[in-house]
Amino acid sequence: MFESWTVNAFIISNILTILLVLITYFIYAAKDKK
Amino acid sequence: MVMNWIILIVGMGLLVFLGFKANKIASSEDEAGFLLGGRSFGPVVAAGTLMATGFSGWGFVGSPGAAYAFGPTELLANFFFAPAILIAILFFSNFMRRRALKLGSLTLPEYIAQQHAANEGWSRVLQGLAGLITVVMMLTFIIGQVKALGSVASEWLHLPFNIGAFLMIVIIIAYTTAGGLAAVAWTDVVMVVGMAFAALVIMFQIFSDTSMGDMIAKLGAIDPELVNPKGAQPYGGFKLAAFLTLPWAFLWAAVVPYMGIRFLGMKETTKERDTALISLPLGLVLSLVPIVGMYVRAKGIELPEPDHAMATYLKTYMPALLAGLISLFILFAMGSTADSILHTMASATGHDLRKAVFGDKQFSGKTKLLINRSTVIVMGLLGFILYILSPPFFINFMAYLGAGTLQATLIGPIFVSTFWKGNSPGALASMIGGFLTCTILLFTTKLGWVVSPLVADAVAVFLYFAVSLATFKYIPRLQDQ
Repeated sequence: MFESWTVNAFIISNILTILLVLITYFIYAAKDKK
Repeated sequence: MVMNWIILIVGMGLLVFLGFKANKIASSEDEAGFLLGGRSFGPVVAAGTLMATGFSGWGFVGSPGAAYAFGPTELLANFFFAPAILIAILFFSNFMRRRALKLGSLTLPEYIAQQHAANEGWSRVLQGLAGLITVVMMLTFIIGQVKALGSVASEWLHLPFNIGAFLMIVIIIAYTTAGGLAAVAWTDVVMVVGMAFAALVIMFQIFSDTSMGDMIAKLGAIDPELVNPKGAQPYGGFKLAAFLTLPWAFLWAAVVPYMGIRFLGMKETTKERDTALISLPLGLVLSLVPIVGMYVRAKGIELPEPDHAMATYLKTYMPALLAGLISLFILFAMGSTADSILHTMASATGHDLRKAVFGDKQFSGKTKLLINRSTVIVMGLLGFILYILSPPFFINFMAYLGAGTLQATLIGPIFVSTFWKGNSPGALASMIGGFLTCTILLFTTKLGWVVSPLVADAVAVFLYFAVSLATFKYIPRLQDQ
């Protein structure tokens, strides 16, 4: 991690965004299959 | 120099060509052709146009400027536009698209009227007011975009500032007039690919030269507040303010007409998850651009004003040919937002205000198209003239003023009504209350660019519920057909 809380928060936000889209994608895809 | 003109002619020629290709969709008898691109957007076009419009001139010029002045706080706060747009796509777009399709809404002001108005009078009041506020607020926004276009075009092509801005606005007017929302969306896709390429090239150059750790150390040496601020200026005096751009930008993406209208233009079979998946990498890459401001500041370069960060960066650190190409893509970033704003203002004038003034008076498809096209030209030129007459300003402030106020105006009757429907007086009170609260807070307090609209949002939502509940006895909500 970096010596800046803003940069660290930026990196964590990036990771959470990727997870949000991927998890939602698979949930929606699974719902569609049903 | 000659090379820059060649790059410009090829790039802009492509946009104008696409505009005329889209003419077939725009010219259909159905007004949805011009206003909604014939509801034809698949996931690629939807993702491209949402991201290109969301990341505007402010992403490439204003935001690096703010990062130069305030450090990585801007990087963090600006980032939330990406998840905000993604959340709007994943969890809101389909609700609104389906409902608007059922109602036959062609614009968001019309959606408000059709959701709430029990009779012709209320319909005209609601559609007219929403249309009018949209035009006024989008004018403030387009002034910022024209300034951004002028600053890059004039520097790049060695033209006087105003000539550069005028040249760009004429090109945008040309393809938007020809192809309506389809032209706007198609050109956005081309532009967002260029924008993402520009962001990648810039990041490659910066991180070949330095590391994030090194940049943070240098910025910290200039001023520790830059890297570890106690608050989150310019967004607010407390740390949480940087994160408030997420709800702010989500509401902006969902309800501000130049973003939300894209949901109505999506094809019925377009899946929100596909649109989100294509949007994701674009959003992540474009969010990196403010690093330019941090880099220039860390290099110890003094700028006359922060908004010069990107232009100075390109001149100092990029080979001429690449700088030329990137300048075109930056113009694309500005153009892709300016065309959407222009189209929205034209729709609000040519469609919403026309209906508010003339009511149900019937016009032929050709006349309506002529009205819609003429308003694009008038609004584009008006934006340019107002820019010439306006005082100097920070590009970011104009963007926040226009988008923030519009969001507070429309949150009740567009966002809340999708889940809980109020009535006409509730919608009217919410629009007026949101609009007034936001403009007053932005001009008279130091609450900040993000907090002011959010407070106004809360007031608008409260009014929507309170006035609707208090008047349901006299004016019940419209029942869904």
